[in-house]
Amino acid sequence: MSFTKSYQMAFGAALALHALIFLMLIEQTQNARPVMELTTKNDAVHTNPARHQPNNELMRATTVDAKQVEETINRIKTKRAQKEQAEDRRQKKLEEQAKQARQERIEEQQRLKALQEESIARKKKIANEKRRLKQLKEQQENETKRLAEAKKQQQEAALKIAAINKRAQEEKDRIERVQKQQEALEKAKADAEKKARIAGEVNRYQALIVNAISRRWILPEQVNPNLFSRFRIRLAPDGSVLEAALTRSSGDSILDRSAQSAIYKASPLPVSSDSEVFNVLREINLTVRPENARG
Amino acid sequence: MVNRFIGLLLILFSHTALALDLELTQGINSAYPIGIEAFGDNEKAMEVKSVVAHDLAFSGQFKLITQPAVIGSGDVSIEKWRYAGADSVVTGDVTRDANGQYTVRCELLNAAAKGRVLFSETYQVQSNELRALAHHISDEVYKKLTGVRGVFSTRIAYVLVQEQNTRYALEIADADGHNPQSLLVSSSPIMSPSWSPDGRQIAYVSFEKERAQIYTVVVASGKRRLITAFPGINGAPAWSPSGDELAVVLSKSGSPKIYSVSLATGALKQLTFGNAIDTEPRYAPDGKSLLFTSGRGGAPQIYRLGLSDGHVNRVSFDGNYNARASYTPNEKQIVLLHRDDNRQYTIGIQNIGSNRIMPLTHSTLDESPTVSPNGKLVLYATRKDNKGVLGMVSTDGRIRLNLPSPEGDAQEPAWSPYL
Repeated sequence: MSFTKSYQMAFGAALALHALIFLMLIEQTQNARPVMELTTKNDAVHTNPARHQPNNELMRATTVDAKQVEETINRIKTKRAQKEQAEDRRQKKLEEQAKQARQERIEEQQRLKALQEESIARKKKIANEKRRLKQLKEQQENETKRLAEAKKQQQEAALKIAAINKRAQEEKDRIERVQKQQEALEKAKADAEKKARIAGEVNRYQALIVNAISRRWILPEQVNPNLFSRFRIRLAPDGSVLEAALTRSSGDSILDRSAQSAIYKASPLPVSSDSEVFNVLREINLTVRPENARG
Repeated sequence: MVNRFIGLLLILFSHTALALDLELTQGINSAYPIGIEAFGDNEKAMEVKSVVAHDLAFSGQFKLITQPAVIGSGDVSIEKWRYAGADSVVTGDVTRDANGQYTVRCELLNAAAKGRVLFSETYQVQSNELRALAHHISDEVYKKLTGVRGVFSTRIAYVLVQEQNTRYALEIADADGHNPQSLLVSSSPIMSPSWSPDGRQIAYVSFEKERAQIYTVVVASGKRRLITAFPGINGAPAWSPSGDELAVVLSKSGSPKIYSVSLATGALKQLTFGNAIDTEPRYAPDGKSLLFTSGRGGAPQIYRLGLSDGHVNRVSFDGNYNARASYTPNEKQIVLLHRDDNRQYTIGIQNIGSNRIMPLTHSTLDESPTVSPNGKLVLYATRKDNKGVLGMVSTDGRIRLNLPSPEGDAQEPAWSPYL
């Protein structure tokens, strides 16, 4: 592209140069005319007002002596002779000048002709150049077009690649997702197994704890089996009863105390050494309902 | 924000859910293990302690734990009692001041629940009141631990026959049989003592006039009043719960029948009719009915008479000899004399609504059951070493013991109401 630009600049410069030359040529042809006009101007010199002054001097001279007149006549004669000579010389010079001008004009015409030829040649050359430039431009355009096409192809290719990449990424994501799901499933399964194991242990210890308290719970006589009380039991890791707080009284203080005593007497209660199982057993809400006596 | 709130709620819920929910529905039937710590080294302190210990032991509700070897003071002591198996501990001391008065301090501690004080009291008494105070302490402990009023300060009346049936005495003693005093002494038979509902009088049958008569006697003064002296049988007096009248058995018009006698007017009203023998009336605690023994079915059985409508229905069906029935204070059971299949006379108990009689005793000649005012114990007459003695059995049959008896035969005990 830059190449074509510099080329265009060069071409432009050349064109400008040619134009300048052409203008100069036209200027010269215009100048030729004043040269020819100069002759008519020279004729007009006789009618020039500047020639009245010597006439006035002549009129004044008539009033002077003859000698002076003679002399003056001589002088005038001389002057005239001189003037004629000068005129001759001037004529000759003018002729020469005209001749020279003719000569020059011919030369000029020749030169002009040469110049015209040269101009034609130049024009031809310019046309050629233009054609070439046009060709070049076409070539360039073709090239640009080709480039654009290539670019387009490239873009299309890029799009295709992007699409492929996207698909690949999607596939990767999908695999990752599936893997994650798989992992989550496995984790859930492991968690469920763990939970089930803990729940099983908890169940076992629940039964042991209730049994331990039950064996020490001396039922008050003639207790109302519809009553119930509730205790919050806190256990130490070794099963020791830290607290057996009455959270809901049955209304029968004897029943409440009998159960509370049973809880304390059953201390330490059976608990698991597995901390996760123990954590479930750590705090117990015990509902006490005097339904029946054992065996 | 809302999510956070919900999250917070969930945390709160899960926190409450964190506590494991368990349910306890089964317990054991067992006497309540209790420890009685020494009240001191002096004789009176030892007496108080032994009275309390004995009371609680015979109540049927308690199992006395032997005092652990070394007893320190404070919590250490409580811990030792706890390890020894006591749920509660009675502790205290007895001190004598310059005036001869005694200061008795008593505490009931919950050994199971880390020595929490359940009861604490200080008393000042004279020397001769120490035994009564000890019974009072037993009552307090009993009430605190069982929720039921104790009967250790109540009294019993019984007939004591001495000197080859030549000396009859109406004896009044503490519920544990101690401290007996003769209210009446006679050379003629005394029978069927019965306490008035307020515990101030006793009705009884006297043969002092060579025939049966029904008297009442004021316990405090010994002042007597003749109630009935009809020809034939005048027997088995029983006070109505209101204390206004006595149910008595009279045979003035043939077979022994049950009448009521107004204590205010002496007005007599026949309650049972027919030719069969009706005897041993006992009012229900609500006063609306009475139980009696009747031979109208061929063999002695218990019947119930509705006092408003006069309707009679049979109550006992188990065995062919049941007599001397009375309700427990809650009217849920009947305690009676029951002859079992081996023709042994025992004390039995029957739940209302059931026909089955559960034997409470297993000796051969038990008789005259009388129920304690709290319904937990039954006092009865039995024979031991060819001698009439008083026995006591808890209504659950768990505890059975004989009361200390003086020389002679103790017969027909009657348990006083709450005094």
